[in-house]
Parts: sequence; structure tokens; C-alpha cells
Amino acid sequence: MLTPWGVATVALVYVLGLFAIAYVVDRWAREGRHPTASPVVYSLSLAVYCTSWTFYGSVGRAVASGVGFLPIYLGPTLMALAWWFVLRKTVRIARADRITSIADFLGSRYGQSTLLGAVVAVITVVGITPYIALQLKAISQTFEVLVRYPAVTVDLGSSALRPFYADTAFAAAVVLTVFGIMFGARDLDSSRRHEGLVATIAFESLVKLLAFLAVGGFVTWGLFGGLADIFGRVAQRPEYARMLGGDPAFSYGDWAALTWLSMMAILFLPRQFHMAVVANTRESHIKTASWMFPVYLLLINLFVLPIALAGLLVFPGAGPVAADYFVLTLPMAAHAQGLALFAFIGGISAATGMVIVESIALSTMILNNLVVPWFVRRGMTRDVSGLLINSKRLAIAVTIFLGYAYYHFIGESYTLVNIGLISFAAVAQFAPAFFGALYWRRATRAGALAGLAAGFLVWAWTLLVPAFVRSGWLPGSLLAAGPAGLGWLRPEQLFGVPEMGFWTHTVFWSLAFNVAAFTLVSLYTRPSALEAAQAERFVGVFAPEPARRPAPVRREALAAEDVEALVAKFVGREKARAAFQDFTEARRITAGGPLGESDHRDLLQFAERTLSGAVGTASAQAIMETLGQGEGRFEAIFDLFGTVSRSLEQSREDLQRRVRELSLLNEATRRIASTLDPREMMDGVIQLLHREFEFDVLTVRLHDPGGRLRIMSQVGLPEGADLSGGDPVSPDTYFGECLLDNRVIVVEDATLIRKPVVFPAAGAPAPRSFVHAPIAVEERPVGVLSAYSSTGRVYFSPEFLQFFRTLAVQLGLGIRNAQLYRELGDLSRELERKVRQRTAELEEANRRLKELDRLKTDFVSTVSHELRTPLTSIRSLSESLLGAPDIPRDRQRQFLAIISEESQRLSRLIGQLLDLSRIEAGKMEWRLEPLDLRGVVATALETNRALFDGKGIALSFDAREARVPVLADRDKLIQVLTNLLSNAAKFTPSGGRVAVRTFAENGEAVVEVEDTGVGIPPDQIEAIFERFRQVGDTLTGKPEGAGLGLPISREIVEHHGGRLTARSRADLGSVFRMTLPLAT
Amino acid sequence: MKRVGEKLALLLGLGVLLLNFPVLAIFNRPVTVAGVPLLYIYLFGVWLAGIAAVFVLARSRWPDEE
Repeated sequence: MLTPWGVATVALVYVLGLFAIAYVVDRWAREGRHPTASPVVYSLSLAVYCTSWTFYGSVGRAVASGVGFLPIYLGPTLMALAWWFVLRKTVRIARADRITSIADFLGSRYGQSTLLGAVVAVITVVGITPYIALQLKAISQTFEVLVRYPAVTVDLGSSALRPFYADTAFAAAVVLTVFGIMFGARDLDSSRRHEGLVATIAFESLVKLLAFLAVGGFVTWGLFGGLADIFGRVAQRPEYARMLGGDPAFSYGDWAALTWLSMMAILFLPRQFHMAVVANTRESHIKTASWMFPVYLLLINLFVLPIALAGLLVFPGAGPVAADYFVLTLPMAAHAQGLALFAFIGGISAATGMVIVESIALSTMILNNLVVPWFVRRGMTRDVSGLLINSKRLAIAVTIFLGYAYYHFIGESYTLVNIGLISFAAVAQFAPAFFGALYWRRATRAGALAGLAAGFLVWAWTLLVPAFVRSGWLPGSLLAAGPAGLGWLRPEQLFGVPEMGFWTHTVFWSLAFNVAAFTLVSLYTRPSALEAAQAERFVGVFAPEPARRPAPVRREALAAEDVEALVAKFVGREKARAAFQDFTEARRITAGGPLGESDHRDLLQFAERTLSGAVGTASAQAIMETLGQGEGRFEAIFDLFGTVSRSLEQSREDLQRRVRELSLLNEATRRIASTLDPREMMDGVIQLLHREFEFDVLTVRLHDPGGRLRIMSQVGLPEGADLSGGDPVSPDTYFGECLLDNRVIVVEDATLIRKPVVFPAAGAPAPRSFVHAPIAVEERPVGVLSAYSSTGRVYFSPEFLQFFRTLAVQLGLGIRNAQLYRELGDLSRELERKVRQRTAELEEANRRLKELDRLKTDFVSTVSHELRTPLTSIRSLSESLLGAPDIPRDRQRQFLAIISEESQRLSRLIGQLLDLSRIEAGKMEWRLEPLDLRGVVATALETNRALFDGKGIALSFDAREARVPVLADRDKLIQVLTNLLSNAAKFTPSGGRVAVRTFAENGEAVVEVEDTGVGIPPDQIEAIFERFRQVGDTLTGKPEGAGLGLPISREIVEHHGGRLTARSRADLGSVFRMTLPLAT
Repeated sequence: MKRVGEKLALLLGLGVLLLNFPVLAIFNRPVTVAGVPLLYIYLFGVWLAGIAAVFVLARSRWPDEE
């Protein structure tokens, strides 16, 4: 089974299996399925950290230094606690800028510096190449060890280094190169996640963990009786007891230094950055990985010490080199061939995973930070996308074979055990610049360069030089005596400090020089505008309002296809076409024409981002710089506010522009506030805009009650343009859309749009650019403020749009105010009218009240007078009778007759008053019955005939109808008739005539009493019906009655539903006419 | 649970403290507990406790988590 061909076949089948996984998952991804977008896969893919150096080397380190292997895994566990803040921030930034590597990250942060990116790339390549060599060596050596079975030896002698064509490491390098190219460099976009690759790495992580656990379990419980058994046996061997704790040679300094190195390595190793940052799909995966990845590390380390101790027990006297293969040799020694093979596959997983990801990450760096800048500097004019992708593939091959070369020519001469740590120490030099990039705005490019240079130099001097010396490439005196005899410069004892541990020494001095150079130079240099802007974006990436990268000021516009052509040179025509199609479709731009400036600016940023994904940020920026330095169609544009500010240096200009905006806004507000006529407001605002910005046409459209948008105010339309029609509100017009959506609509180039531009001027030039802003009243759009320019394309800066929108809002407020004011005016006028009306009513009522009051007073005084007159005579006569008993008897009788007469008069008067008050109070009792009016009149005539006869007045009664039926109170009617008759008798002189007529007429019963008396003056006819009015007093000299008869009579008749009227001609007599409704 | 950020920072500080000199030196001695070296138990114990703490924290929302 463990023959060379057998092992090779199994390894090949395994690797082909990896190819299959990668292929299938890539297929799924293209079909839209993403099984790798899970936190578990993310955590497993991070375990690419555990290479063959972990798989085999940890045991070796354990033999050499007990638990000394653990800091390499405790460090990442500690770092994972900070991932949520550090790693997530990096991921956020990297996604926004399509950052592809740590070199790209640092270069981009420090002013998109090509130089810094290149320096980081070089440090990485130099630092990592030995590490790749280590992996290749592991594959090769373990293969050699395995195929010697049943012999168990690690003493491979000179046969270990075969010529390359017979070398397993060479074969492995070839296979890995093919894999890397197929699944890591299919296209140029390095910012994209290669899902097949991620799936493969996660799978390999699983395999190596299971393999190691299997070996650990087998050794612990198969070969020995559990952990306690192993530890117990070792404790009996004094030479190994130090490994169980209390080792006097234990270096706490190195322990801390290694912890620090591995904390940095988990962030900065190219493969870690690639897996953790570039291949991250969701930030929330980081949260899960914060504990899941440490769990993985813990598990894979659980059996390191038991295996190491078991190895020492099984192979007494084995040194660290032999211990490196315990994972393999222990199962072999126990003749567990299958397990040994499984362990070998686990080792291959660990090694290949690392080499694949590392080479892809390194090739990206080489391409983006070294090759492309070189191309750009050379000034490229032709399509290089094919060249670039092939360069990337070549870079993968170069990286891997550089590692192979290192292993083949240098490696064997010096133990590779510490090579992993040398790489760690190299990438740890990125720490100050990296954390500065994330958290220190003041950090500058110069500072980062200085720090990196200082740290790298110390690293090379203290780690690389000793390695070279030990390989025999440099004289040993360098270590012993220092360069040129300068003892304080000895690589392993800088400044002659003797007590430091090997790793403590390197870490301390490199970090010290690095940090010092970084901070000092940063403090003494000023960041450029671009650096400051990038610093803001990086440090403030979580700020609520992400600081946008200031758009480069370009005074000219490029056609979309010019930009696309440039991008295509680097990413390939098809990819560029697809990307730009997405872009233009998303922005609703018709392809083929020039663009408005805001589209243009976005297009440039989009292009730069697309390029970043392929060639890195710094190169992308450099490439974009070349735009417009040659051919290309430029068109003049003008910015409404003069210039667009770019950076802090132009803040003064910015401020001035702001002041201008505010003063303009102020003037507009003033104009709006100065009038209450909406039309004047609109005119004021658009005239201001016309004056300040030289728009060709400005309009205000308002939503009229008929549902149309009508131009209510305008500037610049030709005379006689028909504005009365208006346009329907619909999304088919831009202003309709503006009104319906209540948002600002900007069209910077009307030649590129789809909707018709509805413009009510036949003769005027068609507008080229325009902007609509909704005029809203309480959030409800009521109109549209529009500005048109016909003369050329206009760049509406964001500030202008803000201003324009504010103006529209102000206009809306003004219109609303005017409306409210008008409504208020109407309301107050209506109120005034009502108040006037009420006042008049009240005045009338008051007048009547006063009149009534006067009448009442008159009434009371008249009544009093009327009552007093008879009372006075009664009193005086009765006093006379009392005071003079000797009055003759006939005289007494005469007095008594008068008293009696006056008493009667008094009682009559009081009776009348009572009647009146009863009638008025509605307390009179009415006994209505069917009567024949004729009979009633006849009765009344008979009763009063004596009055007439006494005065010699002829009385006639004429009743035409046989019967005049009425419904009435008989007594009351007689009272009325008596009153009329007595009046007639009273005012008719002797010899006169009084005629009484009764008849029916027009459905009414009528009684007329005509006399030939003195008559009544026409102006007094109504007065006789008023109380206490006595007309013609002069006739008799003394009033007869109290003047209450007629008012009472009228009340009675009216109560019956009839009328009592009089007509008269002076000296010819009067006619009193009483009508009552006829009863049926 | 709130203040996850502070708790993570506290864990980090605690981890650095417990896994370095001098606290580490307390347990770095040739003593075994139930046959297993104290140092081995201590290191893996602290490690496991740290992971468990993060695991428990991960069950609540973390700052700015979407």
C-alpha cells in the first residue's frame, strides 16, 4: 500500500477530488447557488492558517520547547476577540473600494500610493517565499518518509534532494500552479470571491483536522492508555520531564513575542487577508468565526503535546527534526498503514491549501502593485487585458516556483523549522501602518513608508541575516563580531543587549523602530489632500454619513464609451461591456452619447472601482489619471457655482460659495415674504433665478383644480406663447413625475433621455438641460419649479440642487401663507358682515324695546290718569257729601249719581284693562261656537239702539245673505260690535245716519259700520287702534272711555282669525269693517 | 445583553493577562493533576473558557450588527 506509486496515486486522486469540488462549486455559483456563503465555511476557510508547519511542525516545536508551540494559536484566538471591530472595519472598507490585498489596502489608505503598495508587495513576497518553500518541502519529505515503509526513518540522506524531474516537490508545485490558475485566476477581478477555491480550502481544513485528530486519538488511546498514561511515563524520564512544566529554559519573552507575531499574522498573512477580508461575503460571519475559528485551533492543538511525548517514548533520543514527522512515523511504527496514509493526506491538505491561497494572494499583489503600475508608467495604449490575466497566471507560477527554488537551492542547508515564524515577523511589520490606517487620521504615507522600511530592515538584519549565515551564505563572523567589527550591530544582539530571547529580540527592535519611524514621520509630514480624504474614508467608514471620496475635478466630459474602452484595456472587452451595461441601465442612461456631469462623475468612480477590482486601487487611480490626456471627445460644461471644491484646501472657496447660496436664499425668501400675492412671489423667485444663473427659461407650474399643471409664472418663454392649456399630470412628463413622486428630477443632457420634453414654446430653442423641483405645501406637492437651459449642458452641482429644492420649498410655504391669508381675509369679512347684521338687528330690537318701554310708560301714566280722573271726582264729591251734611237732598242725589256714574266708568275701565291683559297674556277664555253673524249683529243693534235713538241718529241694518255662519265667541263679538256701534253713535252728530251691513264676501263674513260722523284723518287711522289713543277728543271735549275699546276689539277679531280695519274721508264719516272667516 | 464591545475588550485584556508572565508562571511548574500536567490543563482551560465566553456573547446582538 505504501509504495511510491500507491501513495502517489492516492495523493493524485485526492488532488483530483479537490479539482472536482472547486469545479462543481464554481458551477453552482454561476447558477446562483452559494453554499459557501456560510459562517461555518468562512471559519473553516480561515483555518488555512494551519499549514503543514502546524500539522507536522507543532509536534517538532513541542519536543523542542514543551508548550512553546501554543502561542502561535493563542495569538489568533486573542485577535479573534477584536475581529468584530478590526476585521469588520477592514472588510467594510475593502468591499467599498474593491480592495484585493493587504498591499492594496495600505496603498489605498495612504493616498492611493503606488510606491507604498509596491513596498508592501515586495516585503510580502520576500517574507512569504520561504514559507511556500516549507510547504513544498513538507510534501516532498513526508512522501519520502512514507514510501520507505516498512522502514521508519527520517534520515533521508542525499536522496531527499532529487533532480527536479524526479522530485515530488516539483510535481506538487506543478499541480498547485495548475490549480491556482484554474480556480484563482480565471478572470482578472481579484476582488471577487472565488467560491470553488473557498470550498476547496474549507474542505481541506476539515480533512487536516480530522486527520490530526485521528492520529492523536490513535496515539493516545491506541498506542497508550490515555493522556495520563503518556504524561505519567514521560514524568519518569527526567530528560523529558521539563516538557510537562517548570522548564527553567522557558522564555516568557519569546512566549509573548510569538503571541504578538501570531496575532498580527492572522490579520496580515496574504492568505489570511485574502480569506478573511476579500472572500468575506457577510460581516456577520465574522461574529461566528470569532469563536468557531478558535475552536478549530484548540482542537487541532489538543493532541500536539501527547503526540510529541508519545514520539519521544516510542523513538527514544529523537531530536526536533525527527519529531517533525511523528505524526507520520508513529502510525507507521504501529503498522497502521491506512492511518499513516490519512495523516499524509492531512499534511498534503495543510500544505496545498496554504500554497494555493498564498500564491493567488501574492500574484494579485505582484500584478496590482508591481506589474500594472509599471505598465501604467510606460503609458499603455493598447488592450492589455489578455496580457494582464496571463501576467497574473504567470505570477502564480512564479510565486510557487520561487518557493520551490528556495527549497531546492537554499532550504536544505538551513533548518526550515523557524521559517514560518520568519514570515510571521515579516508581515507583522505591517501592524503600525495598518492600525494607523484604521484608527489614526493623521498617519501619513511618508510615515507608513518610513515605518515599514525601518521595521523591514531590522527584520532582515535580525532574522534573515542569521538565516543566511547559518546557510553558509554569509560569514559566521557577522554573528559573532558584528559587521566590520561593530559589536553593537551583531544581528542577534542589537546594541549589545544579551539577555533577550531570540524572538523577543526581533519583535522588540523591529516593532520599536517601526512604530517610532511611523509616528514621528507622520507627525512631521502633512498628508496630501488625497491622503486626508482617504484617511477620512477609512477611519470613518462606520460614520453614519460615509464620507464620500471627493470626485476629481474635471472640467470636461468624456463619452461613456471612451471610459469603457479604457477599462476594457485592462479587464477585457466583454467584462467591461457587461459592467458598463449594468451601470448605464441602473442609471437609465441611453448608451452612445455624452453624459451629464453627475452621471459622468459617477461613471468615473464606477470605472475606477471596476479597475480596482482588477488591478488594485493605486493602479486604478493612476489609470484614471491618464484619461483625458490624449484623444477623447471633450465638451465644455459649466458649473452653476463656478467650481466644485475638491478638498480641504479649497474650503475657503467652499465657504464663499456657501455664503452666496445663503444670501441668494435670503433674497428669495425676502421676495416671497414681501408680498401676499402668489403670482408676485413666483415672479420674484424666477426672476431672481434668471438674473443669478442665466437660465434660458424658468417656469412655475401649479396644479389647478381641473387636475392640470398650468404655467402660472415664467421667464424667457416667447411672447404670445399659449400658457392657458396646461398639461395633464402624468408620469409621462418629467415635471409630472416630479409632482407625482415629490422629488427633484434632473436631466443634464436632454439628448439622452427617453421621455418627451414638454415645452410650451414653439419658437424657442429646445432645452438641453433642465431641473424640476416639487413645490410642496405641507408635504403635498402642488406645483413644479423648473429651470431650463438651452445653451449647453449644465452640471447641476449637489449644492445647487439643494438650493433649488429649498427655493421650491420656500415658494410652497409662501403660496401656502398667501392662501391662508386670503382665506383669513374672507373669513374676517364674512364675520364683519354678520356682526353688522346682528348689530342692526339688535339696534332695531333695542329701538322697539325702547318704544315698547315708552308705550308702557305712557300706558301706565294714561291708565293712572284715566283711573284718577273718576277717582278724583268720586273723592271730591264724597268728601263734599261728608263734609257738608246740610247739602240739599237733590243736590246730594246729583252728587251720588255722578259718583255712581264715575264708579261705573272706573269699573268699565278696569274691566277693559283686565280684558286687555288677559288677551295679551293669552289667558282669556274663549268659548267658540257656530253662530249666525246676522243674529249676533241684530242682537247688538237691539242692545244699543237706545244710543242712537237718544241722539236722533237714523240706524239701518242691511243683511243681504240669509245666513252668515261663523265660529266665534258670542259675547266677545257682541263686545266688539257694541264698541263699534257706541263709537259710531258717539262721533255722529244728531240727525246723522249710521248704516250697519252684514254679508259674506270672498269666503269671509263681513260686518261694516258706516257713519256720517266727523271722520278720521288718514294719518291717524292706524293710531285709533293703539291703546289710549283718542282721536277727535275735541268733539266732545271730554273723552268717552279710556281709548281701549278699539285695541281690544282688534285683538278679539284677530284672535278669531279676522281683521278689523277702518277707512274714512274727513267730514264724510268713517267705515269700520270687521271680517271673520266663514264657517263652513 | 448589552455592552458586548466592552466585554470583548475585557476578554482580550483578560486573555493577554492570563496567558503571559507572571500569571502564567504560577502554573508553569512540574505538577500534575490526575496525571495531566497542570500547565497543559491551565492553558487549554483558559483557552476553552475564552471561547465559551465568546460563544455566549455571540448569542446576543453585537454592536452595529445588521
